Amino acid sequence: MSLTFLFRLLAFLFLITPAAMLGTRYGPELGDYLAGARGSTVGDTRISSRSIVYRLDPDRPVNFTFSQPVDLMKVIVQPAVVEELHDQEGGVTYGFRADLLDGEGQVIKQHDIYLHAHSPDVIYATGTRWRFFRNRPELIAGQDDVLVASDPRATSARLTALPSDDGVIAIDVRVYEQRPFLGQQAIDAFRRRNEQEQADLADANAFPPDMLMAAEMNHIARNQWRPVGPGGIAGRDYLALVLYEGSKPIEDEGEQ
Amino acid sequence: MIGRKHALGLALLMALAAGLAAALLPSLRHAGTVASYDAGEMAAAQALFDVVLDDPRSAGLDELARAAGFTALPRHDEGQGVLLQEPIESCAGRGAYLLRGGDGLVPLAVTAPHRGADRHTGMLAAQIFLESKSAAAGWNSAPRNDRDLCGNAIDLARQDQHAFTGFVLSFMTKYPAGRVVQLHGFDGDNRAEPEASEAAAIISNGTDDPPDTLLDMADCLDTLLPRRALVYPIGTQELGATQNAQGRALRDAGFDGFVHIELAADIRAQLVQDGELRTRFAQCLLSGV
Repeated sequence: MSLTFLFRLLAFLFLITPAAMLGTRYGPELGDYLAGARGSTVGDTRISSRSIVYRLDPDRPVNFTFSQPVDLMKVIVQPAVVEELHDQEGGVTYGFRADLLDGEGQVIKQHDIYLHAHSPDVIYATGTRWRFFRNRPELIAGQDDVLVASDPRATSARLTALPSDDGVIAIDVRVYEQRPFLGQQAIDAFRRRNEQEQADLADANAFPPDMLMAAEMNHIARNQWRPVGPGGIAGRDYLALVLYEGSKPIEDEGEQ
Repeated sequence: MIGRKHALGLALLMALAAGLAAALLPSLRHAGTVASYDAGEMAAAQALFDVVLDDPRSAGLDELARAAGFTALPRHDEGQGVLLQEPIESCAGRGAYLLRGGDGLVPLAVTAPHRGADRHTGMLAAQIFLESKSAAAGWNSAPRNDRDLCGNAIDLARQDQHAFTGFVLSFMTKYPAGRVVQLHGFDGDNRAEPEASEAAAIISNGTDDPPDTLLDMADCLDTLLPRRALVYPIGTQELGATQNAQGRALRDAGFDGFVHIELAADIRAQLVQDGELRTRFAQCLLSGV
């Protein structure tokens, strides 16, 4: 037995011991998650929200016109993949093109944005929420959100699907603009909200709404995003789909 | 651009709908004493509806109708089946109903229990009945509350024992896989949740567990209407109709096709005005059936 072999054996035992311990501890749980993942779009799913998403086309852009020129837009995006990719190791890579246009319809800036998404099973196994379409076969991989800046300000955006990994059927997006406020308007807009809305908006703040300073109210009001719908005729210029979000049922933990 | 022929047809249809609405929906200011129902009276009304849904031309209909406090007015020539309404001078709040019989009908009962208070819902129900081959439609005949012009009032959606509840139960018996739609109107300014105040529609089956058929309909409306069609309790916790008398009666009888739709004022106005939008709306009402 050479010294090199002995060293390798010791290294192997050193690594395999914690791996075995972790496997014993978390293996069954992870197995259960993954076994249930394929059925994550059916069965006793508890639906927590429904959203309208717009499917991007590789050949024809979908147009979104803002209520006024913006210097920032938000895109919430997720790829829809074939069923065979439900447990794709390493996930998928996909992309879309965002053309930002001025009031004359001239392209100010063009961004090709590529993103990586975990496979549907990983999303189901590692998170508390997952997304799916009802009555459609494709599965939803990991969701992402992208902030796209524009200088000068853009009046509209054209989004197009870019070539993506095999098995990525489509890319679905929601587009948002920030609510347009100037100076004192943001604070006024916050104060005009009813008590419940103010409480919801200030939820992440340490203090209740009536103790917020003007600057804090200003920031909260400005950080509200408003959805922007596509232009044109549904079915001809864009395809709208309803995306569902499910949440895992709370486990019965028995008597405490 | 619609053609001239199409425009003429549309105008004729609108005129018919207006005429139907005028015949069906007399002014609520004429309402008198509100009828109170017991189980026997509701059974009499239900027996009447059962007969009309089976055979609207059946003999003895007038007598059955009189026994239940209604007048039966055949409107077969207009393709509207039979109109059951209380005598104009009575106006005791029994409701007004149109029921068709025969084959090829759409298994849909479209109702507006708060017409007058919920603006445009009465006309919208009449238009949908007229333009589709819906089997039945129903409306209130007395105002919902005494803030209206009439001193008498009845909220049909809260009446466990009433001809209106008997009407939906009869429909359920005839069309066990059908759908009963109640059209209502809401004011976004009166809603507590921002999502609800900005919604185009709020849809519910009166429970916290919307079935797949309801979600099919909601998905259809969500991609049709200019703003969100929320589902109770997924998108909002408001206007769930959990106390709705007809929804409860139908559920107790094992029927899962009850749908309560709250529509925003601008959407109601658009639907009454826009025939194409209304046609697609009516198609959505049958999604999942």
